[in-house]
Amino acid sequence: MYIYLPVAHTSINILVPIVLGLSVGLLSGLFGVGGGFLMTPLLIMFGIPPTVAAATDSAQIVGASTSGTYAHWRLGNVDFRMGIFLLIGGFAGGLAGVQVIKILKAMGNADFVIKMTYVVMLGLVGGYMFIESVNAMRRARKKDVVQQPKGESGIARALKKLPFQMEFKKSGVTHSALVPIFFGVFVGLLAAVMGVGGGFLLVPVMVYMLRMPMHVVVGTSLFQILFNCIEVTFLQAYTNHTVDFMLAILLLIGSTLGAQVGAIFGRKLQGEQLKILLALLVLAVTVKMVSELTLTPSLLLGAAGGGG
Amino acid sequence: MKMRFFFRRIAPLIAATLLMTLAAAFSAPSAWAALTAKANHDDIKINYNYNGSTVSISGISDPNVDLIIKITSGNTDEKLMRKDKEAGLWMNVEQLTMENAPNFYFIRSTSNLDSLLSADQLIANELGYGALEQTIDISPAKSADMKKSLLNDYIKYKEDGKVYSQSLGSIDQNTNDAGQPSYYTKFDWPFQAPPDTYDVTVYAIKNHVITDTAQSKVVVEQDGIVKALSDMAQNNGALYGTAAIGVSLTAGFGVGFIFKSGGGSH
Repeated sequence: MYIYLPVAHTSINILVPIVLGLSVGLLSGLFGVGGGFLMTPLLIMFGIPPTVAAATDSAQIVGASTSGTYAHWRLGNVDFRMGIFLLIGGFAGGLAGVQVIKILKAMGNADFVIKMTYVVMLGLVGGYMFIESVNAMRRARKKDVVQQPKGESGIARALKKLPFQMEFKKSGVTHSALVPIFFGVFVGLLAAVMGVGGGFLLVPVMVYMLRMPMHVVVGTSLFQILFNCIEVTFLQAYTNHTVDFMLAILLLIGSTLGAQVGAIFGRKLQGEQLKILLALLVLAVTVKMVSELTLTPSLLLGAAGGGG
Repeated sequence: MKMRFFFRRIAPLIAATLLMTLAAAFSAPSAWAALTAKANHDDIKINYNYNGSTVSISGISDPNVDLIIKITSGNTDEKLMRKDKEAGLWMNVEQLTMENAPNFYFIRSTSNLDSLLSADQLIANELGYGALEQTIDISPAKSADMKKSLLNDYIKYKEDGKVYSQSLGSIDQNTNDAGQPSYYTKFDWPFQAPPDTYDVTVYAIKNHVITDTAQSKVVVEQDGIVKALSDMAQNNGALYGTAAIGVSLTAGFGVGFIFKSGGGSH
């Protein structure tokens, strides 16, 4: 059965957005990513105009991340205090990122910078997570080797000297409030430049920089994504009129279910296993992007305002 | 004397009259063969289950003419991004404006356009992809070769979006139930064609000259819930955005509660 999407001006088989929502929602609940970096290209592939795909995806992520945050909150995996500091930083970084994009567009090389940032960041994040997780699993298997407690690095000691130190009980870490705000700015800036929610950047930051346990990272990331996407959905609907309500509902049917299943399934996996799976996902997207950049496209013209 | 007068003066007049009558019969369209055009499905309603339609154009035409049918919905300026290789990688390198380009462009004909009309006539009437290459301008301006290449890419882009189509030799000419000479063509109407009023123009051509034209219209309009949502998105973005967020939050919490009551809680 086909359904007509009033804002996208496109007819689509009703099962397509439901299955897409289910798949991406599953990843969202499993890894704590919004899934925008997967969903938007998939929607474009099925004929949804790029601007509508990006905006409607935000509305869908609101539903999926609500469902996922709620599921993780019940499991005790959301660090609200950390999430709020990351949000403050992310909001400031997003504002700065929008200005950076304006400057790059004026210079005429925005698309090159966006695509290269995408490939480099995805490649670095995916590669680092994969190698680090494989090494961690190998270490865990060598039971006869006694693990030496790691000494604090210079950076860690410097961070400890920053003001506004506070304990993040849920995460079991102590940081200055400035640390999550700083990383929030960093992720928000990159996310705005790349035109994505930033979940796949925020998760590694929380794991490797803030040293939070993986399960709390997933819940806290979803909490932060929820608020980011509420803001983006409203702005897209208000200024660009590009949110397709019908498409969002169909995606939501799948993604809210998928997020719940993902949250339950994720609990059965170890933190390192989750990291490896996310790393493989990120690396697969990197390979796809590199192939798009190197293979001759079938069409040499595309809609303006399609994003990166 | 009378016979000589008849053969000298009257007979040539009669012969000339007969010849003129015959010539008129073969060249000018006669009353019963006046060109008409009718779209069978001229009011297409876009509702929630709309997936395009099927449209046929038919009418009466002289059996000795060729026909071209053009369906358009007005010209506009369209902004596009051009892809090219930069530092060995494919990416958007430039924004272009295709000026005076038809939003929608369908051509059907009884035979090859170049064999029916001269290039100047095709351009003057915007008939065929070749004519579009002359009527569409590109901003910023390009060299002739670059413009030709870009217009080919543009037509390919629009064909990929199903809003441009050119099918030659796709009009059937026959006799209708009333014994009148008629023509008929049928095609899929793409769901990608946005709500608009589409002009259907049928050209009758004989001896490389357009001898007659007929017009019809296809109206595509949104209806029901599709129209309500589309109007709300365009005219009341704040309410629309708030509603979208509200529904998303409700769906997220709703599914969360269902899973909780289903035993998903720890």
